[in-house]
Amino acid sequence: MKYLLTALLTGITALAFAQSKFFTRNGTVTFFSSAPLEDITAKNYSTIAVLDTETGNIEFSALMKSFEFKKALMQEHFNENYVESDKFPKAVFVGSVRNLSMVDFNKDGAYDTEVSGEMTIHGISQRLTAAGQIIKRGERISLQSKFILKPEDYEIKIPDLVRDKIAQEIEVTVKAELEELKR
Amino acid sequence: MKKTMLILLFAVGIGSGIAYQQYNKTVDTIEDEEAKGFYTAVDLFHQFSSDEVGMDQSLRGKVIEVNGNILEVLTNEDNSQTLLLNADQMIFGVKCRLDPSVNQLPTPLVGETVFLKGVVIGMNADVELNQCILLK
Repeated sequence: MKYLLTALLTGITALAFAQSKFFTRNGTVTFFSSAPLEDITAKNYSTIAVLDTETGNIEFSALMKSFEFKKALMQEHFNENYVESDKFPKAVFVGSVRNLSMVDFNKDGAYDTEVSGEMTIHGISQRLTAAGQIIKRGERISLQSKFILKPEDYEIKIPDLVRDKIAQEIEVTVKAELEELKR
Repeated sequence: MKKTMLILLFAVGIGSGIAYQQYNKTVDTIEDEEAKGFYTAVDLFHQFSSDEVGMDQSLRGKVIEVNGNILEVLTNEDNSQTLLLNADQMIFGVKCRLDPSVNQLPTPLVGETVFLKGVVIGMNADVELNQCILLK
């Protein structure tokens, strides 16, 4: 699969992108972990997302250090001990909308979709399929999805000392409002 | 014996208090932090494009000052704002998320030149800075 972001970076002219590529640089990804002792939430407001409405190819990319926690210590532990952000700075999802024919990008509306692809976190890539919604409203396209990730699938080790503070499954919510790429 | 117990209890109390405070401490703003360097948005982007690994090693997590021309003012999901500074590129630039917990100067307009400081996060198509504070 051709990586959309890579294509953007290699400098294909803006004209080639007109009409079918939608983009945002401030999508939101939220991690939520619910455990008996404490709920933990982290948000990233700088996620890049690209959607090709012709092919259904979709890509998200976020820097791990952009995740913001309420507590400084949690943010530090997340980056240094769990996801090792210096070593593995990005989380990337590359996939496609499986039921693209159900989405009419010329008509406003909310379309239930399923996205399938490869998620890479902590240097480990795993297949991921998630339900979501594509909402077409005027010139904009909103993407929304909620799915579960298991830290152990990405070889993220949680020390025994805090294992009861962090859920075995992390709920991930993605929200992005894309605009047609014009520049 | 009683005196020793009291001292021990006092020490445990103090220790627990400090631990609790540290555990609940929120992320500090960078208002009082001195910038480790000054870059124009064009230079910063150019240097990251030429040597991302080297720039990551020297600048990631550091506070720097940047100046540049505003290409876009983005409103985030939490109603905070992100400024995209022009880096003489077709699509990407230097992206600065303004710290919503800081009393910022009025949001500048597209086309204006700004000076700000922020924490370098890295390069993800754009060069990203977080916890940014508008200086002028």
